[in-house]
Formats: sequence, C-alpha cells, structure tokens
Amino acid sequence: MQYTILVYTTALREAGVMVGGAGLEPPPTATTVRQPGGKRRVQDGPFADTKEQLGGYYVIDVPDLDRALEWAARCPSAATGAAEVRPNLRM
Amino acid sequence: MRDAGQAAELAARVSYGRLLAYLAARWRDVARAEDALGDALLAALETWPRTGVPDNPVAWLLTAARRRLVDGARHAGVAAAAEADLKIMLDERADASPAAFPDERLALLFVCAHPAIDEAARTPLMLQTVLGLDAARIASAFLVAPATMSQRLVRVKAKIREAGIRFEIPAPGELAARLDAVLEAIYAAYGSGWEDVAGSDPRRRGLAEEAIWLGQLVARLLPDEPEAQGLLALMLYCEARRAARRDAAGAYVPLGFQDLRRWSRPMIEEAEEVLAGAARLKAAGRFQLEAAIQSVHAQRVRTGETDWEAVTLLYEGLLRHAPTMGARVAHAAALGEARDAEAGLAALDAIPPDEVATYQPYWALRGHVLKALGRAAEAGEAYERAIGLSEDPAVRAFLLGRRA
Repeated sequence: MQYTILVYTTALREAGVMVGGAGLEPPPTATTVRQPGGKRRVQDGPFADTKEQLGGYYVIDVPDLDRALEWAARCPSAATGAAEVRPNLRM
Repeated sequence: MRDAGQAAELAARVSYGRLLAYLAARWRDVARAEDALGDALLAALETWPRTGVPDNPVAWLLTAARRRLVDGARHAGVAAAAEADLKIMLDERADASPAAFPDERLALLFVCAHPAIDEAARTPLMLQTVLGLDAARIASAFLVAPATMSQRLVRVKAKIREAGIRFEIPAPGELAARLDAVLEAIYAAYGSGWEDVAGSDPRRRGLAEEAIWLGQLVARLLPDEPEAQGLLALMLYCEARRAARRDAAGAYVPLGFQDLRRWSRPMIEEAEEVLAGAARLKAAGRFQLEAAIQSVHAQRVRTGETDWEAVTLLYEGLLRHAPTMGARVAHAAALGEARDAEAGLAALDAIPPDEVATYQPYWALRGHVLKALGRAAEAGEAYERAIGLSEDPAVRAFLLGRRA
C-alpha cells in the first residue's frame, strides 16, 4: 500500500498536476472540537464514526472533472475503497 | 409587429438548441447560457418590431446572448473580467463567419449523459437544453411535479458548472457506455412529439423531426453502434405512419385500421435499410427489437396482413432486454391478436395493478379485450379509466365510441 501510494504520487508529480496533499494518520489518532454557542467541547475520536474513513487527500490541478476522474481512478485507494473528487471552492 | 414576433419565435425554435449548446460549451455553464439566450430573445421581441427583423436573426441572437455573458462575467469580478476579454477576442474572430459557428449539440448531449450527473435528471436535461422543452412539459412526460423538475434541472446545471464536466464528445473508449443515456433521451423526445399527432401543441411542434435529426446525427457519428442505428430505424418506422394516424376529419385511427396508402413508403424503405445495417453488427438490443416489431407492422404494405406470432415473439425478446410497462402492455396486445382475447387478458392480469393505476394504454387495452370477451360492464369501467387518462381529445372521442 505504502509503495503504490508512493508510485502514484510520483506519477502525479511527473505529470505536473500535483499541487499538494497529505496522507493522514488513522482515525483513532483524531481529536474533534465543537464550539456551539462559543462553548468549546473537545472529544476523542473522529467527527463522524463511519465505515469509510478519510485516509488522505491530493490537491491536483487539471482542466476538468473528466481529467480528475482519470487520475482518481488510478489512485490505489480507489481499488481498495473509494476516491472522491471535489472541485476546490473558488475564492 | 406580429411579423417580428413570429420571426423571433421561428429563429428561437429552429436554432435554440444549437445556440445554447455553442454558448454553454464556450462558457462551460449551461444555466448562464440559458439566461443569456433568454435575455437575447426578450431583447429581440422588444427591438425587432422597431428596427425590423435582421438579415440573420440567428447571428443577431448569438451576438446579443454573448454580450450578456461577457457583461455578466465583468460584473462577477476582476479575474473573471480577464477571462471575459479573452472570450471577446475569440468570439470576435468567430464573428468573421457568424453563420458557421460550430454545432456543439452532440457534445452537450454527452455532457448531459455524464456519469457524474444524477441518472434521473439526464433525459430531462437533454430535452430542456438541446431541444428547448420547458420544465412543465418535461415534468408531465416524466410524471413529476413541475416545481420538482425545475429544482432537479437547476441542481444538475450547477453540478456541471461546479464540478467542471468537460464539454467534449467522449473518447471512443467511454463513448459506448454513455450512449445509452443519449439514445434514451432522443427516444423520449420523439415520444413527446409523437403524442402530439395533430401538431396542435406549439411547444411540441417539430419535436419528432428534431429527435429524428438527433438520431441521424448520432447514427452517423457512431456507424458501428447497432443500437444507435436501431433507434433511428424505430423512429423512421413510426414517423412513416404519422399521416395515417388521423382521418380527414381528425379522428383517431388505430394501427389496424390505418389507410396503407397514407404510410410513407420511402421512409419505411429507409428504416429497413438502417435496421438491416444494424443487424449486420450482430448485437441485438432494445431499440433494434422495437424497430423489428415496427418492421413486421410495416410488412402490411406488401402483404396486407400482420404476422402477430412474429410480433409476439419479438415482444418476448424485448421484455428480456427492457421489461418496461409499455412493452408488457404491448406484448399483451400482441398475444390477444396472435391467440385470443383470453390470452391477452391473462397477460394484463399478470401486471401488478398498482403499477398501472395511471397508465392509459393498459386501461384502453383492458377495455378492448374485455369487450371482445363479452364482459360489457367491466369493459365500460376500463374504458372510462382510459378516457380519464387520455390527454388527446381525438383519443378520448375514439374510446368513447368504443365504450358505447
């Protein structure tokens, strides 16, 4: 897994589409903050206890969704779980 | 005054889809292209009565819509303004030959059929953008509330813009997979035009021809896709019978009683040729089977008879490929002709009643077979339900006559 991620990241870099990203430590390492009405509550664990967990993300620069989907399909996590594609908010 | 209005309506009707597809492809934004084109049409209705109809109404509309898009982009901010300036430059170059702007309708069709688009919204979106149907009409064709349909369409247009779906005809590898949705939409458009036999509904006038045009375009682009050929053949067979579906007085004429001299032989021949070409590709499919059924009906021109056994057999094949309600009811009708009314009724009884509560053809056929079996009271009830579900007055009048 580690190795295929490395190969994939290299491919993104060599294609010149890689902008950034990070792999994340697993959910048990998460700490969640909520501050409703100004009152801070800190809790151990991820904010959503779901079967599928965010393992990391890539920021890539491609002209359209179709190109992004091509790259997402090649991501090793697409074979073992899922790769979700979202546009960046335009700011 | 009226002439200018008519000219604007004509320009919009003939070229709406083409203008919209071009603008949407250039700006990658269907919703804004629609707004701009709508504004341009309003401007035409205001301006043309005063200034006269321009020599090239379509080019006028295109220029007006483009200006709206550029102005809108300028207002949206600095970054967008630079983009807008670039677009103006490109557009001015295109202005050299305004009549020859590229036809992006097929690309737009494939955008609408993109896997990232909600499946339920694909056909409605194509009907609205490429063929210019309004949301209320699409909603009634898809049996949902107009407000629901409008919301659904707004949502998918936002998705196209925000997700950045590519405005291109897909590469050969992906093209086949997206073709199904495109063919479905074209057939739905044809169906909508087909219902309006008399041509009395201005929103649907010419829709059948538009659908056939789109079918021809797709069939030409994909000569090795048997289903694209099959759909074209199917539409041509049906269109060949258009003139025979009403008599001189405008009364509804069922298929079995149509005047064969009013069937278009050239169109039937063209359909036969297209279907034969599809068959050579040796991959059966829903549209080819439906076309084959119409081909059997078309044989009546030569033989004077209908081979109902062949029709029944083809419907059985069709039910394996696409078990739609239309196919189930039509299969029951074919059984009723090939065997007897009892067999037709048994096939109708096998359909769960809650699925046909508002399906007009089911009740019309049910009335027909019950009447043939001498069960007059039940036949009357079925006909009454069918009459209540018929939009077309000619069909209502026919059913009233049958019930009596």
